[in-house]
Amino acid sequence: MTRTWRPPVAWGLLVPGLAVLLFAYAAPMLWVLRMAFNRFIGGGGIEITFTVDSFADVFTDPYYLRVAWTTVKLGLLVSVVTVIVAYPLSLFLVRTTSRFRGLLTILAIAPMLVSSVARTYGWMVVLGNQGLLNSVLKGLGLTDTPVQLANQFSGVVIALVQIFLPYAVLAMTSGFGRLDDTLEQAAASLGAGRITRFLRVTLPLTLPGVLTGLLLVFVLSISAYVTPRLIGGGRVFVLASEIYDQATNQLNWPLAAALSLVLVVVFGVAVTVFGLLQRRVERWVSGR
Amino acid sequence: MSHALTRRSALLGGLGGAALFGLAACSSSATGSSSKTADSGSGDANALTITGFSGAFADQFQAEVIGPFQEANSGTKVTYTPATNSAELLAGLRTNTSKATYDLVIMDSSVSTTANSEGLFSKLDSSIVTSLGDLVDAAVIDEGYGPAITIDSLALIANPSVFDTLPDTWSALAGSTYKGQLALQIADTRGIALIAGLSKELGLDYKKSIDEQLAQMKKLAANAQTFAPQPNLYDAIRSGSVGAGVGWNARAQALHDESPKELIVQVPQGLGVAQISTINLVETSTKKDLAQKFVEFAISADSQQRMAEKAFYGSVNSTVKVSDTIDARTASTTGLLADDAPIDWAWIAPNYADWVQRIQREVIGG
Repeated sequence: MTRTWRPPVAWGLLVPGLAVLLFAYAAPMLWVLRMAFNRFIGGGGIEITFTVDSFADVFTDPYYLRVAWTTVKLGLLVSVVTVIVAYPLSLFLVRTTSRFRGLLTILAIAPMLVSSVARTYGWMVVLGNQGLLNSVLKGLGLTDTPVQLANQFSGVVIALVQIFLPYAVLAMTSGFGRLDDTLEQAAASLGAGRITRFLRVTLPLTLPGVLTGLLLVFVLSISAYVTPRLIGGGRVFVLASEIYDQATNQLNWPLAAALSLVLVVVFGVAVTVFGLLQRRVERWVSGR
Repeated sequence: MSHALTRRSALLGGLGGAALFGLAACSSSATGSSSKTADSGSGDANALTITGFSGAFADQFQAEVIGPFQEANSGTKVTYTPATNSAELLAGLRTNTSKATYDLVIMDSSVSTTANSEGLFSKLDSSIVTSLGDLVDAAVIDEGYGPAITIDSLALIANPSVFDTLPDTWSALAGSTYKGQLALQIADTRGIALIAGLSKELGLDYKKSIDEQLAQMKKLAANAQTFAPQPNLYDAIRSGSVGAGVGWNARAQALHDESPKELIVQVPQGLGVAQISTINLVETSTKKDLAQKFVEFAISADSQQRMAEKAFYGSVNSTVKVSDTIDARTASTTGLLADDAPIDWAWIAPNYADWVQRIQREVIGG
């Protein structure tokens, strides 16, 4: 009989993935970490040293704190609105017994086939002063002056919600696995009305999926660069655009590196918080 | 029968996967490097690679300088790779100090002075670049290093269907007429140039302080619809999505000729701000002689005359003679910049990042 030993098998299978992570993630991150401790000197110069100047700038300068807050605010707003919009759609896709279910799912995630840059430009056309939305509003006599949505924070939120909607739908439909019609039928047979059934049965069972959707969209939103850049009209400052500006316009690589690490920390905090929430929800749902 | 893998087969599988990944990485890296350095690093001694600005400049430079150079030097192949901006070019030069990706780099003079000081560019040999002696004063940035290749000026630009005339000063853009109609892409060289323009207009010295200039700029910013017009300033104005803005004269003049009903341009009299782009020899280039031959061709009277007449750039060569009509539309020292004190880009270079940051915080973000 061939002797088997499972743990090393698993380790062996991890080797390719670890190699990718090492070369494509860990090494660049270490480089970024080292760069953050260098000193920026005027004119784009960098002094190779070991200083915490860049971190001090990030944590003591109200501007960067404001940028960090705008980023988190954008992430929270976009993720909450996206999940609210995606929830009924995901619920429908999970529950429907239609033979077109597969097609409907494909339609829901089809926007992912179009680049987010193209979709962002599409939103610029829709939200602009002479765009579709303002033309309709003017045509209906609802406004004389254009409603300012493009080049504003609100426009960025609208566009990001649409862009990340398919991601939320995918995450939520796969997270709605616990949903069981028989539980709702049991609740109905015990006299629970539609709203009670939703609040006491459906919502708790779908909460893990909702949290997954929230986390995914939050992480995507706080790292979004193109949409805030294009639709924000240069006045929506988020960490991703600030990192780009520091690195390519002001050539302050140490500060760009420090800001990148802040973004990684925000990611880490978000993943940890959502992980804890997810565990609590799991425990609550399973009654343990 | 057990389906579990043996330790040996799993490790072999894992290592095989890793080896495949490694091979793929090496192969893609090799492909990437060969395509990137086919230029300067290739064995073809007659192949030259240049990088510089994208968009209209790239088109005009290829048509008016690169094309004629290749015709005059049969067998020579010049590849032009457009870049996003000068800062990106400097970043690229810093990360490729051992092996040249490009032989020549065209960039803002405010950035090239930094690259010169870091030893990223070489001094030119005046026995090859003989036209160095014909340069106008403003075209000599760092003695011996890459000279100016174009001179341009900050300008006011508008869509005539929104504003049929343009004002005589930069500050006039703060007027209520322009409310919600301006595109001000000022968190870059344009903003720095606008500080210089406002300094002239308000009688201030930017070497002492830029506080008042920024305060004035903030009044202009109150009328801004956007600080990042899309797809770019000129097309945003031509489409009418914004009414007016601050941009570069040469490109706007060329676009005006293309579609006069969509774009008008004006440099306020006596308030022009020279923007100088330099052509620089990369220190690690392996084709320095050919590269310098190209520099000589680019700053020669013939090339400069073509760039002035077709692309509206002020000539860097003092021997160039253009018609009065062209002269009046280009940023030359006898044309649009006739009465203007030159802006000291070398002095500004170390302050560039700080100024852009202040514009971003105090003008746009404020």
